[in-house]
Amino acid sequence: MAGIDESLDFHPLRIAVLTISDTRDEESDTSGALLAERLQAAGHELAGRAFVADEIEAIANQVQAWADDPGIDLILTTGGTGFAPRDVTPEAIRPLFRREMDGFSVAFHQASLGTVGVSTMQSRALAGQIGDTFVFCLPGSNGACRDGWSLIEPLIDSRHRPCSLAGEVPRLRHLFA
Amino acid sequence: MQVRLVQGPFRPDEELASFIAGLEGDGAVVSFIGLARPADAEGHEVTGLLLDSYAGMTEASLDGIARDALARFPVSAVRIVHRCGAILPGEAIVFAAAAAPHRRAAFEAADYLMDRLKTDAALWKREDGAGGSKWIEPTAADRSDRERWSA
Amino acid sequence: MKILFFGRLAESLGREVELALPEPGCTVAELRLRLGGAVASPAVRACIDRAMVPETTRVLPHHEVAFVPPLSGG
Repeated sequence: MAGIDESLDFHPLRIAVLTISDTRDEESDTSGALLAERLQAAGHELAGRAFVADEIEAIANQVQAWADDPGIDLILTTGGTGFAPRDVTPEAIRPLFRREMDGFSVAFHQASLGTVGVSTMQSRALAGQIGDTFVFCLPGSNGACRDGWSLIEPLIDSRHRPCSLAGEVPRLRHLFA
Repeated sequence: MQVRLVQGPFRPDEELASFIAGLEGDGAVVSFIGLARPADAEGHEVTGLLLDSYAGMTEASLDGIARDALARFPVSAVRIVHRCGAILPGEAIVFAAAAAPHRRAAFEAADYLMDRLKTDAALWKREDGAGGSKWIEPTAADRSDRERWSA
Repeated sequence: MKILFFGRLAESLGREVELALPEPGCTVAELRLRLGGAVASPAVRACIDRAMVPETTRVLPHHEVAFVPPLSGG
């Protein structure tokens, strides 16, 4: 049976949150804060926090810097995943991936078909691995971040069975061998 | 040394009157009032200002500037009153005054207070207008005015 | 630990963020790397316990840390 096995140990991950947005509007203000609050409520640590504009170089530099930081296990980004002219998050981040997690896009679209219907296809949410660091890129809306987090939270929970992404974080790998 | 950071509007005329009333024998008082202008540097309408402040640090920065003026010029008293928070066009943002036996020191100290306040007061100014908001940073002129007083 | 932001930084990141200190005694410069974006700009200054500090200063868990843009009083 897939799910959280409460009898196992919970190992907090050190997660950085990047808000990607040109505009300082209600949604871009709160979606990053929402992710920061949710991950802390789930028992993880907020290890990094930043806000960059919809610019390929700025996004790539920040994400790469955090991916190179041994003190950060996982990166969440919010914003820039749509089809508006300034949405460039996939263009900035996909080239950095060593390996892509195409299953995330599938699962995300499945989850948000229920909330926004066919509009989910206007999102290019993606995930992958830069070096050893997992990166999840969510849309900028609060609703999409909630949908996305509802998938990511159990996936990165070290108590999840049959397996957990926590087991692929280098410093925790020995616990799952 | 009289320094206050105030959240709401203040009356510069009352500040001047009470400053003078507290003096003992000085013959010269120079004061400056900074007002929130209704237009920005490019002439666009400004509907309001926001001065963000850091409780404790902002007051300490104002204290430091007043203390430096008293140490540097032969003045007997200085006063700084500075707004923080939301300010409307036309309202007084800052009042700075110096008193001395004679006018030279009073003029110089008041000039010094304002040049220091423009770059060393721990405040962050945002101008709001129809086109949106803009955070203001010290201008090249502010920086060179500040440099005037470096030893 | 709580990190405070002022001016335009507070607009992007909020007034305060609860960030895990990279390690006790890490420098201000190391902490800054965890807060990229606008905070990384050299014009932004770090403050500990309400006084501006150099980048090499060590941050301890009991410190009040703030990042501030250039001052613009008056």
